Amino acid sequence: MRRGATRTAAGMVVLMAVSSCGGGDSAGGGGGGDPTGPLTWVSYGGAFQDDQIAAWQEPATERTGITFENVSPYDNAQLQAMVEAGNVVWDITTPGGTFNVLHCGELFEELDPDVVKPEDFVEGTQAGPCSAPVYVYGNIFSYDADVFTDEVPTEADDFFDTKRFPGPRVIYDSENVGLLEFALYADGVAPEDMYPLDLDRAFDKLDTIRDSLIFAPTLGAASQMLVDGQAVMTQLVTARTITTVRDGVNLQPVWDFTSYGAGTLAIPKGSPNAELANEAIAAVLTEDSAIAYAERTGTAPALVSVTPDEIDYDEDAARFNIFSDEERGTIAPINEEYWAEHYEEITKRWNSWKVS
Amino acid sequence: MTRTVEHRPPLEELDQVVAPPRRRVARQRPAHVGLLLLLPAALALTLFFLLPLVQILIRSLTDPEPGLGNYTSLFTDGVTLPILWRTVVVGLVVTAATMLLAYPYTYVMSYASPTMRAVMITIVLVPFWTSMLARNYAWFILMQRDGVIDRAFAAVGIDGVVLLGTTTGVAIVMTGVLLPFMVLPLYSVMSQIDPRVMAAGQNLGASRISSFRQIHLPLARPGLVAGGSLVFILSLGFYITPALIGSPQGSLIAQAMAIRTQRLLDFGGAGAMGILILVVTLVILVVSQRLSGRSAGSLASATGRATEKSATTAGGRS
Repeated sequence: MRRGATRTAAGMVVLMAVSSCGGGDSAGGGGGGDPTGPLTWVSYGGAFQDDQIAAWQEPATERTGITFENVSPYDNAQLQAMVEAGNVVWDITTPGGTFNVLHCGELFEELDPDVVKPEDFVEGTQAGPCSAPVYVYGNIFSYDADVFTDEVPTEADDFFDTKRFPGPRVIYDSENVGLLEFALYADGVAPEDMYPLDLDRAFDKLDTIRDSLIFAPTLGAASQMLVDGQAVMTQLVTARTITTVRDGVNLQPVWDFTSYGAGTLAIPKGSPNAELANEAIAAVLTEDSAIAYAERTGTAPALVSVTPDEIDYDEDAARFNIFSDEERGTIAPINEEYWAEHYEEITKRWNSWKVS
Repeated sequence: MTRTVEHRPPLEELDQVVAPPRRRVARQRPAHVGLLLLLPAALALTLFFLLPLVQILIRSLTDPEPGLGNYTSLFTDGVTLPILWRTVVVGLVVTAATMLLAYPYTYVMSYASPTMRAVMITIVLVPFWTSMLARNYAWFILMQRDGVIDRAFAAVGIDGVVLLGTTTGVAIVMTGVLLPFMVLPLYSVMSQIDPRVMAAGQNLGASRISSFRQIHLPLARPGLVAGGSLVFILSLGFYITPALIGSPQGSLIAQAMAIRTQRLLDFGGAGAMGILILVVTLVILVVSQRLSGRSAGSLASATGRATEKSATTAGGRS
């Protein structure tokens, strides 16, 4: 008995010593000693992250030798908690553009200005100082063409016409997915007068279809509701629109007003490998990677140097390509700077509008 | 000793039989051994519950600026109170529904044969062994437009019963998920109720209904209160079900807290919301303890003693 207990105690001491050594090692690695990583890449998992691995990480590893370790999901609150605790374990993240701008310097590291030069990127993608745009997505208004056959929606205001086009409209539950801009445009606001947003007017317009709106908790849920026939119209980001079509929904785009935003890369404040992460971002920001990602997802490259005819979209992706040469109506960037400045105010208002 | 138990002596007598060895054991161990046994739990609670809670409380009073701003805004922002009210109403409805479902089930279970009882317990426990997400998604499919429920109602001429995205749908799923938390405490109380008390009541001229109302219900009351508080308190913190089955328009308090933390990074405000829920929960706990404690508790022990006596009499007669 006694000897057993002693042995257990000794074992525990050894274990503790080993684990504290382990801690020391990883802390040492975190100090920036290892020239090739692995860098911890955090995103939202699923097909979204698989495409990032195939189009961005693997080519970057081939070119530079930098390796990546993928984790998910990314969570703003978790990042804030890590930064506050001074224990950041993520090196590269894919938050929304607004968040980069809003918390630049506070939750995100400033990027190397030689890596992210605003003139390299599509207008309105808010490149730098904390965000590196990697792709451009549209917030596309589309309808189920199996439901509306005789008379079909042709303009933004048809989204708000529940008499002529009855049925639920599903949107992703977020204030910043272009819906406010879309409502204002449908109500007659010219794209050039969009900002600052007339929130009263936008919410009044949304009030008119309140009972027909379904707020999906995730983009995946929004897509699923279309697949299950729970909704007949949507305003959804490019990649999800296309996957919904591939899942068998006969979605038809309505090109009248489409806002667009950029998917971005960022480095969490206090990342132990910030320097290497900058190198990795530089390795991702290449035309080849931009084209590969666009072809996989149907989104558009954020680099201006890539011309649309370099991208080999399949038929579905081509139909929903917001930068196509074909007629696309008004295509306008979301003003992330305006959004960053008014984010809290609009979010609170959005939530109280939703539940009231 | 076995003989004494068979004859079901009054409680006092049993105490005398059982108590002396217990006292000897207690004398052998110094008092601080008991405290030592408490230590691991106390340590874990302090480290992983109490300290973070204090931190949340402090933060809710200091972030972004010192004062009660986070708390006053909960009452003035026009969103938190309606959501809190909705959460409480859903909690009460779910508690009532689980009671109505669990009572007859547990009643039958407490009288069933051992095999039947094992089967019934398993049926109650199976949901515990199933993934929360799987269960919620199953309901999702049942409740959606053109889903099983919608079609079943349409078949009898009632169109448009789409429970997905409604608070009613959320309450139904929560009732299903929380049912075991009502059945188990209720069963532990009901299994102690001697069936002969009910028989005795009827023997003395009480109708079935009044013997249930005056004997079984009061005896089962501690179980109802325990299960009820458990279900109600758990329902206040429900997140997955309202997020999946409900709609953001009809969000409950946990979703509102998620928005505060994840989108607004307003840890102070979310903390204030959490403290508010904690206070509401504590108030409810105290009230339910009061409800069960004095009236029902004394009633139960009184009837308990009566049970023992009547049992002895019955045993002696047979």
